[in-house]
Amino acid sequence: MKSLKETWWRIEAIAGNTLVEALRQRVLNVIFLFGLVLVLGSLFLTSLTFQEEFKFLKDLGYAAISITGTLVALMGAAQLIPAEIERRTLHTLLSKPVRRYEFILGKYLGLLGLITLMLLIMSLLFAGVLWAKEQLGLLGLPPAESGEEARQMIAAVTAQSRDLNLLQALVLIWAKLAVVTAVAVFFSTMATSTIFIVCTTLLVYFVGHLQSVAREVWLQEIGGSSWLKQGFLALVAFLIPDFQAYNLIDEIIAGNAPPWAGSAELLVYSVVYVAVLLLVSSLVFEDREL
Amino acid sequence: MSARQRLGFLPENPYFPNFLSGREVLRYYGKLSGLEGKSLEARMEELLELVDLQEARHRPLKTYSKGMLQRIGLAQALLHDPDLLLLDEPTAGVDPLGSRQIRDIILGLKQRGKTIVFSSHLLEQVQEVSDRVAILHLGQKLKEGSLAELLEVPDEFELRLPRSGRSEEELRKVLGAAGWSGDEISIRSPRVKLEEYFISSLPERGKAEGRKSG
Repeated sequence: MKSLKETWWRIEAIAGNTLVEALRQRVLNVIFLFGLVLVLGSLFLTSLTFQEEFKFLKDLGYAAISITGTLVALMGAAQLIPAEIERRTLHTLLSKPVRRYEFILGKYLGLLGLITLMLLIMSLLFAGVLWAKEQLGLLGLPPAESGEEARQMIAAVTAQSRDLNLLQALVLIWAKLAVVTAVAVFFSTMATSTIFIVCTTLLVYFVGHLQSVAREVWLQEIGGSSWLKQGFLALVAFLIPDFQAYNLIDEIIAGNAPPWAGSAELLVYSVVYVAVLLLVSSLVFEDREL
Repeated sequence: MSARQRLGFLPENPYFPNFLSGREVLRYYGKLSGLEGKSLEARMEELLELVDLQEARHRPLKTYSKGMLQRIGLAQALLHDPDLLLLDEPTAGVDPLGSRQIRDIILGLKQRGKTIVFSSHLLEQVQEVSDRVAILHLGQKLKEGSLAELLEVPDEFELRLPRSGRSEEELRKVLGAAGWSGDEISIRSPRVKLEEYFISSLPERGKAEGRKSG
């Protein structure tokens, strides 16, 4: 019990240090600033009718949050882990009673903390943008006292701006980024080249978006095509996370919100993938010559 | 794991997260060594004082000189109060003042009963602080023993006397009368070490500043 507690302390210390390092890094701060500007900018980029306007605004805001988060996850993992090896800070670290898997878990949790923090800040900003848009929209409407029609119009606007399903979408974006980060951490346990890690992670990201197509082909052709082809498709479907599944986020934002069940399933899927990736990362890192 | 808890290690050219300040590095490595809270903070202060870095404690490590990095490295290795210290080239690339400071710290630790194993190319320094030395060449241990065993020339004397206004001739005469022949005797004025001379020739202010930045 005591040793488990000490393990957690060390992971926590490494995670905390990772977060501090990330926050003092110029690259990540620039990306984050860029994200904030994009989110804020969405306020000024929309001048269509109310209904379209809110949809466009949400699409834009969430795209900004998602892209910024992905870039931070990618660059964060691809920079911070190889840097420890290249700058040999890992040597002094491992001269302390630290196990290698504690290092990997600490790094991952630190990055996850970074992403969580940035998502929170960007979401708060976006909530502000939605509120501002709502106020602007209401300005052009007749007051609620002037009749049933006005009340309905006001209700239509606030239903758009105060859509609680947006929180659900946010949680799913967070889960998706957690998986992307785990993929990047996995690759950074094998290589020290930032470019290699970014490229391979992006590759997995894109293949992950296409793999549901591959799976459909596989299911259709079962029995029809060669076992080699089937085996390959099955392998891809098994090894690479299905990022297409997260398109649920777009559905939620568009207002075609499916029940929470779909999201819960996706969350479980994410947790499993992260756990497997971190386990494999730790095993790979354990044997690595430093 | 339990071995690492009793061991303090300073690698050659130690690398620490250079975006952290001296204090932050000690706090981070202290947590990794299993220390926490008030006892960690107290230990940090103690060590910052020991390695004389109190004034630089809030500066990021990237502004530290080589000697300061070695000293924070020593402090880091001492956090969990290990019995055995392994130091790899603790004074390599450090200026004379800085390396003297490191030597003084090592001597202080020795007095407190720590076992310190270190490697060095600077043989003169090894001679100053070590009890036992081993000579390694191409991965093979060639010699090992205490300094007295290895270096003493057993069948000779070395004598140091105040001059007291007398000449070399007079001394030779005395020794000759006692039976030593002239070519067995070598007499010269002793010299101070270059390191001592260097430090004594600095102005007082320079010494103080050297201590801060060394």
